[in-house]
Amino acid sequence: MATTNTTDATTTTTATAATDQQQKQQKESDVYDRQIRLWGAEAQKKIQNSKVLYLHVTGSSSEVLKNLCLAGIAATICDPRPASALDSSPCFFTHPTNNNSNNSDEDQENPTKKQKIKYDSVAHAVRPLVEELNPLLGSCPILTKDISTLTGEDLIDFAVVIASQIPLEESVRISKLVPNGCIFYTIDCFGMRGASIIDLGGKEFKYRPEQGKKLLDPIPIKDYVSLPDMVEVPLHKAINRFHKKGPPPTWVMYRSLLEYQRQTTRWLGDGGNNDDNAAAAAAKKIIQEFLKNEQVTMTENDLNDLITAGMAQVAPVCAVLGGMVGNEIIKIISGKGEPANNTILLDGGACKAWTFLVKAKE
Amino acid sequence: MFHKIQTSNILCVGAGGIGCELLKDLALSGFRRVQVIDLDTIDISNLNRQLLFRSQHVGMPKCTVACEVATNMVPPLTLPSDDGNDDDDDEKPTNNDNNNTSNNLPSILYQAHHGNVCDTSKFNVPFVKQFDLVVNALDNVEARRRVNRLCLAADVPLIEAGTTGYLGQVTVIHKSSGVACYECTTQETQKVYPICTIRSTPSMPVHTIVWSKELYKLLFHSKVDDSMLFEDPEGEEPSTYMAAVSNLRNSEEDKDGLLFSKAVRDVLHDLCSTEIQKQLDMGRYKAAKKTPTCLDVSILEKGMTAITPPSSTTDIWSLEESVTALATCLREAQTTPNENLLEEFDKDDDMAMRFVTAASNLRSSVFGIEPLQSLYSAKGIAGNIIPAIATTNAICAGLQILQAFSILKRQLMLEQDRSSGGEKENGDDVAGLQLDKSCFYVNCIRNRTRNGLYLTAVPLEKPNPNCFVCKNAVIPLTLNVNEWTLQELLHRVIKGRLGFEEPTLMLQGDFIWEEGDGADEEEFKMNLPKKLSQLPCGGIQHGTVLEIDDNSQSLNVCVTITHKDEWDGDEAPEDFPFVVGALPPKKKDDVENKPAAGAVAVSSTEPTKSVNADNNDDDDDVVLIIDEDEAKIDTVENGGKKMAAKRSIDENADGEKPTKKAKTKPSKEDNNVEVIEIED
Ligand SMILES: [Zn+2]
Repeated sequence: MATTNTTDATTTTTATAATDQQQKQQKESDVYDRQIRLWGAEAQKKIQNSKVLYLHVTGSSSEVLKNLCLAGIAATICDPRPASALDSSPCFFTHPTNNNSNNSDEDQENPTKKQKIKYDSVAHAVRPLVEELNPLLGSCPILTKDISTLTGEDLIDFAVVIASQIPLEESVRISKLVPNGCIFYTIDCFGMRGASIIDLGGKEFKYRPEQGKKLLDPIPIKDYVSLPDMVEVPLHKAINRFHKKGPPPTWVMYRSLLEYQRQTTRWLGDGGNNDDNAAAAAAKKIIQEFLKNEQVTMTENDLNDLITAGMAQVAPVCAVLGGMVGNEIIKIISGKGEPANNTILLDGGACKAWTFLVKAKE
Repeated sequence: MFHKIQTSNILCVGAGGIGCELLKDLALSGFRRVQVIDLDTIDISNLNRQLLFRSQHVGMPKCTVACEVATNMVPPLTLPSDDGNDDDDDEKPTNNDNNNTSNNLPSILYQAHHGNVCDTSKFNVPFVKQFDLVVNALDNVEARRRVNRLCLAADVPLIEAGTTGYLGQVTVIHKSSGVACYECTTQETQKVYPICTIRSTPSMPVHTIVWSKELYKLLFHSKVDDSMLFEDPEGEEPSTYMAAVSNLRNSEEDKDGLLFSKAVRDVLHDLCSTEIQKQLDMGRYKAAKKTPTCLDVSILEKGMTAITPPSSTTDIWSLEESVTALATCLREAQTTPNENLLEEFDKDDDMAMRFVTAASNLRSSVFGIEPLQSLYSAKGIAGNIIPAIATTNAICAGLQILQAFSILKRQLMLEQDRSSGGEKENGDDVAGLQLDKSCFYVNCIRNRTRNGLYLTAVPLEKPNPNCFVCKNAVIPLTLNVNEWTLQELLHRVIKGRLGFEEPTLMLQGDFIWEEGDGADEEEFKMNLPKKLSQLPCGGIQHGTVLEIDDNSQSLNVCVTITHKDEWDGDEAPEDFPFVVGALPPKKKDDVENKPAAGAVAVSSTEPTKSVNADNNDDDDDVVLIIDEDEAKIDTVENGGKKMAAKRSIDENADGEKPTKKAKTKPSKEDNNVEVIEIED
């Protein structure tokens, strides 16, 4: 029943443009079908119109990056660290290196070009793989700046900024720089645990609560504590009725690691010094001092585990926390559901995770 | 411990949404020996979450691609020693570390098995025994049951997971640790729709969609009598629509298409009007809540004369548009060469999907069923599509690997204990893995609990004493022994509901049925059509104990038969739960109402948790349709409701002793209890 074979040359070009657009939309609705069935076409539109900036790509933030890119949220990467920083983290955005050394002759016959490629930075090394992960998002921009030189202008386009392994004072600084309506997140995994700090931007942050399948009218968040304020809350005051004696151990550990970084300007365990007794003792001293000042305690076991693992990232721990943070960011962008506020804490050994509000108990 | 990870042997069943995440985590964690079983090929709708696949992989086997990509993610043995310096260390020494060479590590091998895990010739108990543990990433009850039984028989730990949308669960199954198995709770199996509901008394959109798929078959299948809507033209009762149907099936291409248009019109008219009127005249709907109304002829005429079919996939088509859409589909089909025309509905075929959307909406309007469906939502129902996202899969897979670490740690401790020959202080302490002490049942939820939990972990459940799979419990079965044949019993109950693969049936020690490797099926074939009560060895009567043996899954159980003459409406023996630990509903009320002496709180023993939230992937479930009149079984693809019962959890946020609440009456506001229903 073909009746429309007579199109003239002038209309063809516009028609092709239209079909290109249509084809892209068709492909998008095919690829995103299973999630559109979950959160609806409107939320998907918001998702596709949002951008996220990643400050450092690590094992944990690469999981968020993967989840959100697959969902259709475009990424911009700022990570000027040398590409080798990726080697020590369980990040699947790494190029196949020659790790199957023990068997193949093939490897010797075709020395793959890939492993010879040198990248200027982590961001450059990761970019081609991010682009490959979801080609519908087009090219992945790189912000070639040092974290410490970022200005408010750099952050203007983004719905969410996610930082990993950046010093606490940088988090404080950047959380103040982000424009209105932009959310600031940190995500870090250490040994069997992981934590996120969340700054929802202001007490006017609104979300639509869910009641079963029903979506209620927007309401503002109940308690808002900005990131700079929240890290000023002494640990012994960060309690609530479910955590009467002190904050969850994971929060204490995360703060201890950030404090260690502040004092030494390097991350605990970086450089493989975990086994070095002297280094471990020094680290222990720093952390014990910090705990004393904050008037909290940590069990000897927890302390030893913390020092042994340091900032070492374990793949499944990263996957769990990265999945949870991904869910939260989708909640925020789609405006559906109550988002976590103002931390997410994961204890991978116990397979438990909480959102915990860090707020000074008077 | 890292050495244990590197040398352990892992089986991963499924390479879909959860499977991809599992393989990524396994590879990045340094596992070197992994085997993967998967049956599927890659579809475009997988790409939003199955991170190992790209669009150029569409159509290729999932397991092969997944293994290839994952292999490349296994980190090199030696990390560069100088941190922060990426200059000139391309020639990374990968094998010069003394530790590594002396450790005799196995080479990296991620091995793909493209096949069905239910294939007994390949995937059996000896196969499973070679692994340290098994991780499941499956999307259907049948395969899960199969893996559950194999792992129980081989006593290999199984880490099970399931996700539906935002929700997920992870649990560990291990025979000798004394924890519940997958089948300790009743699993939702295939959704069953009685044929008469589909043919004459539909009440939900899904019913009319099933009907439309049958109509598709009636018009396009080479064997017209394969359709549930088929009526024998030579039957006693003249059919209202079969004449028009065969006229349309046999219609030739005519010059102006007028004859063909008339043929289409006649079919629609007969189905939506003549047939309905006939049923109305027969008084079929006297007692029904809603009386159907025949399709307005003017709508039919207008729809037939319109030329442009509706194109929106998200708007609901009007009835006229639906008629036009159907007519357009039929015209397209007529000009399509037979070999390119699908005989049966497939949700991914555009024409078939338009056909079913239009036909089901016409039928829904006739029966006053709401809501009508857009093509998009009809596809969700027709294909039984379960929403799925990367995040939940990532969380559950991560939790599975964390549990795997716990298991491997226990295994390592046992190995070290054994090799040092050192018994623990009190000799009886050296008992097995005891995974009940180190693993958890973990729930991933969307809205936090009152105390802020997003992931809740509670100890693994004890086995259900009434479980026929892990506890060898006797199975009670009620049916009419004078009507059921051995054939029906085998297919509907023993293989269908109970999941036996190659059952041997015995009555008082004598065989009445045998199949599988080396079985003499011929000898017992004559028993198949016999009524149960007429079988040899005294037959199956009220009170008979039937013994079932299945070597392929090392399972042996007894079934006690209760005969029942009278059956209500849609009630059928296989709908009864065979494995409920729970007390029957009435009794449960007794327990609750009776103030138990001395007991502070009666906690329900009902296992409400389950990992039956089907993991994302497709779809197209085969669903049983029972014809209660003829006791005939038909299989039809279908969509249905899937439920994931969630367990209510309340515990101290600090992970102190979990207090399990009696969870008999979850209040509506209680967001600890989440029940998800897929739209229907
Ligand atoms: Zn069981």
